[in-house]
Amino acid sequence: MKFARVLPATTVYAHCDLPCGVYDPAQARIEATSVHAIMKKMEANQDPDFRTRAIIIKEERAELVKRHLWVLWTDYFKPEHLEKHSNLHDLFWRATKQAGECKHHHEAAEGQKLLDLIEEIAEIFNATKKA
Amino acid sequence: MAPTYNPGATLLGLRWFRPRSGQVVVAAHGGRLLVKRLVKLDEQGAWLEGDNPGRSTDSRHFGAISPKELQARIIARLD
Repeated sequence: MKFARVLPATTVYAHCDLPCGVYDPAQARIEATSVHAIMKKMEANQDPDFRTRAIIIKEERAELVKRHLWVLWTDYFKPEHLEKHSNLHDLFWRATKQAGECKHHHEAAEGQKLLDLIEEIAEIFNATKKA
Repeated sequence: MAPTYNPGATLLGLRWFRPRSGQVVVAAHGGRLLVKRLVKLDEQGAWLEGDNPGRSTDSRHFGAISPKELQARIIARLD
């Protein structure tokens, strides 16, 4: 509208998050896939140097899984989502604990449990996007 | 602020106004200018919420703000 151009204008924001506002459980899933893949490689390789490196990377990736899940949990999900998906807190608690378990263990089954929990979170995430 | 105002909307605001609950206001908070609905104004401060609660970051997260941070009242959309 032309007359709007002569008025002093500034940009106002409806969101207080950092501008990107991009949330996706894929971030956690990619790091968890790394954890799982490292576990599988450790089962097949007994070389101590390789295993040392694998453990270091597994620790880092498992920590990143926690980080990405926490961001989703604390920044993306809102009270409205919790009302519809009452298991949300428990699910995040179990998933972040499982990321910790993946540091303690190197059996691929532990990594698979982590991936399965992230998948459950992703299903809820997708449901909130459709709503 | 969907569905009331969508991203990119041009809004007209009044700098001189008496804040009342129900108004859409501009607030200077956290280093940014925010547009939110004033839900409640009492001795606790100004309680702001977005019209799209599932997507909005507002007083439910950062609490009530100081009424001094209220900058303008939105009175119309111009586009």
